Amino acid sequence: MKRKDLRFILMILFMLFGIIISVQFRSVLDANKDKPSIVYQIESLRDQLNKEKIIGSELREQIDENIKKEEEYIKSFISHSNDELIEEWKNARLIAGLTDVRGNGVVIRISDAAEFEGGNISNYVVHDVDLVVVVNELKKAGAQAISINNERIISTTEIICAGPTVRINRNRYAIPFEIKAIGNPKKLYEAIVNSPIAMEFKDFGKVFEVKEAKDIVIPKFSGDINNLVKGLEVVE
Amino acid sequence: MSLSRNLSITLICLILGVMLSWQYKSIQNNKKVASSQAGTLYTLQEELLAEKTKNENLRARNQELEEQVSKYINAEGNNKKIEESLMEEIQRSRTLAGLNDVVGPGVEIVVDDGDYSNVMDTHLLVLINEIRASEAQAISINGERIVAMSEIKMTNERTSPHIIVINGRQMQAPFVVKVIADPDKLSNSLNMLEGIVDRLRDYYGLEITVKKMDKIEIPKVHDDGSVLKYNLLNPV
Repeated sequence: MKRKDLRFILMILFMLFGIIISVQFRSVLDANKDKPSIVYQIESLRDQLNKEKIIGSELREQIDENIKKEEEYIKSFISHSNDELIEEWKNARLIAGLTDVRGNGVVIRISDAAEFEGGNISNYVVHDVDLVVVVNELKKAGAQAISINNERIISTTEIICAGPTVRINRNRYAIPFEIKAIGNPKKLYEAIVNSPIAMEFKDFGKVFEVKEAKDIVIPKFSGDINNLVKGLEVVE
Repeated sequence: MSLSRNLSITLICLILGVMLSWQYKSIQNNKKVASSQAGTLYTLQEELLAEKTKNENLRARNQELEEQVSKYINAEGNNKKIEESLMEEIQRSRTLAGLNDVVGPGVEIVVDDGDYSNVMDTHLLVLINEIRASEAQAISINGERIVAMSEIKMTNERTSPHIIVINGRQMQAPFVVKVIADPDKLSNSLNMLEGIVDRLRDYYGLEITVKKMDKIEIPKVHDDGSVLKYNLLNPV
């Protein structure tokens, strides 16, 4: 009687043992099956991303080089009586946002809230309109050049949601956003810190850091220009 | 005899317990790793896409510059031709900066106060941003050319109608927004279901009309130094 009991117990234990081993085995196998493919994908994506970044910086160098070349050709070809024309060319490009510029101003860092504290989740993330409003506040305070994540704001610049990213000058950017502005640093700082949008960011714990900065460099617009003016006929 | 049996059962139970907990942990862990990997994969895919569009735009700009450079090289010795190319380029930069009167096909939008609500600065900001997202090439509001650093400011929320300041000039509703862009494309994206026109009309209670035009003339920005300021910008 006692022996039978014991055998019964042993049998059940061994059955459990077997089931656990097989489940464990399968789970490990499954994990291993998925692992190489997803890890492989991540690695190859990282590789591709790095390659694209290198291509991007090479293209930027080429652009700088071509601008320099053009300037040299123009200077060497055009007679000195036409220095005015060259000045005009430089001035037009400066106003249009086609040259890198340096000056004093403010740098603003903006990002989603770190913690979600209930309510509408949409209140805790940065929207395209927020960026539009911040940029407008800077313009109101007399900013002379502005960039978001080093994308220069020019006359045609859109700041619009595109899925999880924001499209600026037809390029896409994700959080965090760094807005740089050149102007009177004190004036810009005061205007931004006291703006309603700054309060709104604080209310929901969204990141909004402003600091005055010296010698900020704001890069030139680097998209093609023909696309932006080809529908315009100049009226003399 | 019974002692050794009891001992063996205890041992087996012990092993079983350890295995169970190990099993549980390992499965839990696998799940966590898998979900974080899926997240990384997604952000990497997004980043790669963004980087690729960026490079496409850079490539287009670079090609444009190369064409310009070769124009100058081909015109070597021919001073007149070089001057012509330079003038052309100055005009393009000035057009982009908003320093030329321009004409082209586009859309005229009139935004007016509704029965119970007034046009506010944010309404115009969002509208202009949407217009830019549809690849507008030139925009004016009540005759003020919208350039890179044009601000849209509301002086006092309590007055009715609101007083809005653009390029330093005060104005009131109705606001006539002239845009040079592909008329069909722009009016389609403005009139989209739940689009900006719907939102301004239904949600904010404003009057708004959109009219396609074959020919729209948009004036240049006041070049008297009141709008375009660049004394704080040092070219790099």
